[in-house]
Amino acid sequence: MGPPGNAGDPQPVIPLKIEFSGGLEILFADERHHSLSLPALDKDGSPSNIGFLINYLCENLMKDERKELFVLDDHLRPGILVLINDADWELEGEESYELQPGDNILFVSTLHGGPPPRIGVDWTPVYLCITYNKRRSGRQLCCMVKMQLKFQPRKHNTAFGANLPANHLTRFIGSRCLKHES
Amino acid sequence: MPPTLCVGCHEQRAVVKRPKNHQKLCRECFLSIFEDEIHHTITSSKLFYPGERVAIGASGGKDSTVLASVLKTLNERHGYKLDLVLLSVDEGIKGYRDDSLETVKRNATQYEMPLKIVGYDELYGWTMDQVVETIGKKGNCTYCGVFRRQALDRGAKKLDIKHVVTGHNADDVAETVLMNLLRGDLARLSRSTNIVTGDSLSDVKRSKPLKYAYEKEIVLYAHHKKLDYFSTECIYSPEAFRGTARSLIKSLEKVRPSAILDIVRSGEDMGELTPDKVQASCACDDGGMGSCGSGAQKEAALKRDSQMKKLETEIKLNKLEEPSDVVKLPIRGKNGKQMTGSTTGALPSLGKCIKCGYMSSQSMCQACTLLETLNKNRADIAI
Repeated sequence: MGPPGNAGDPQPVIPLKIEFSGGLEILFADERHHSLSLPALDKDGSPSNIGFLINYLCENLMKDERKELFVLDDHLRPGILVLINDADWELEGEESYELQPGDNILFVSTLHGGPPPRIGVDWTPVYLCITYNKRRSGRQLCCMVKMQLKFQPRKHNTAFGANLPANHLTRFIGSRCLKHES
Repeated sequence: MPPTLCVGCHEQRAVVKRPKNHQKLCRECFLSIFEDEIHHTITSSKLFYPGERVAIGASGGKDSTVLASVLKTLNERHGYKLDLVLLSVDEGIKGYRDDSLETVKRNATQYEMPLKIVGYDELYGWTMDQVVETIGKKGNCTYCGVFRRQALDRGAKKLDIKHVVTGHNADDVAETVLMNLLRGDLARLSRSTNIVTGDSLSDVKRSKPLKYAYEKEIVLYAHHKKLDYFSTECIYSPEAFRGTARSLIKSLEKVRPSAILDIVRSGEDMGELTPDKVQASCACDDGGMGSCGSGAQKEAALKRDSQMKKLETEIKLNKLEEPSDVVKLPIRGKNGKQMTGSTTGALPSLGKCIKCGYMSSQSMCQACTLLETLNKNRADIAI
């Protein structure tokens, strides 16, 4: 157990590489890889372990309000695997494993197709007016296309309110609209 | 803490702790033991014959990707002489299926297997997106499930293949056993545990070679073999009951990892004791297994049945003039559910759908019945 940290000292940190997969990405801004610096000591002054990391991720990295898809009853939700430097965390002491600088922590959901969407959230149709330039190579054909479409954000996007991730929108437009005009 | 050594080779660092026996294994030993166990499942239940053409139901998810990879490995290693084909169903859900189909296409190249994609639009004239636009989010899993069941079979028939393997794992089977148990549906329970479903009456047989493989190990296998798989949620309605059963299974696994295989074994043993083997010939719903759809469909059937039952009780009470203060327990006969479900009391016999010719226990198969309702509403939507 380390000594309790003094409030005046700069808090030492541990650099970590965090990876989410199996559908958990959607809880963390749709990003698979994250690099972060975790405080080396927890609130009680003990070296930071996986249990502390899980709480830290919930409070600082998670962009989704559905915490229960990651943590249940103060522990990692059953069905989520943790690999510490590619090894099953069950071999490393699970939540009590003390993190080392440069550790690679992978969280994989084994739940079918990722966490279930929240029930009871309705899709809000968003009406968008999209204007873009279309350029054809060779003939330099430029034209303005204006269209209005009804975009139904995916359920998990509603947590973002008005800030819909742009990649979903482009994917939606790409799949729905581009084929209609050539 | 010094790294734990593998109990297999005693040389490498252990990276996997097996849920079923707590064995600690290194990457190489784990991969080979996992493959050996699938090989054992295949040979001991005589799933394939040499030269058989087999379609792998591929969704691009972890289970089917691992299944395709393992089958390819074993086919070459043990000389099964199988002719393997990937078969995918395109439900027509934008932002979900189109992405995962890309994964399947990559898999087809990686594993050098031909790929056949059958779409709901070409089979039924409806994509799931259109279905949802018409009927809404509620209950669309029923459509998807009924359609998918036939789609795999029809796809296999188009390829002239009589055997479809699916990626259902031990967790899936345990979950289904539990669900059938909670519904009191022992007939389906017995079917859901069979490794091979479909029988002489149906043209296409189904099997699940990963039946004894833990989902955890499948994910770890995919991870350590660096397989290319796709994971996302279906963007449409989740199925509450299955989700709850799944959470329960995962919580049980946390406390007692062997529980999953124990439930599968219990399911098999209970299946042996079930008298209603006749029902196995009803091919309108496959082995009671399945991804989201089949469950929802069963739930719908269950709802119907319970309504029927209510009606029946009322009639009985009138006829027998029983004293009203006697509370009768809902005891049912051997074929309880089926009896209450049909007015004549006879078991439904297997015939062919009058519309599409697909096997069905009613005069019109479920898919065609659902399509009729959909087509009636088509005027309501403007695309």
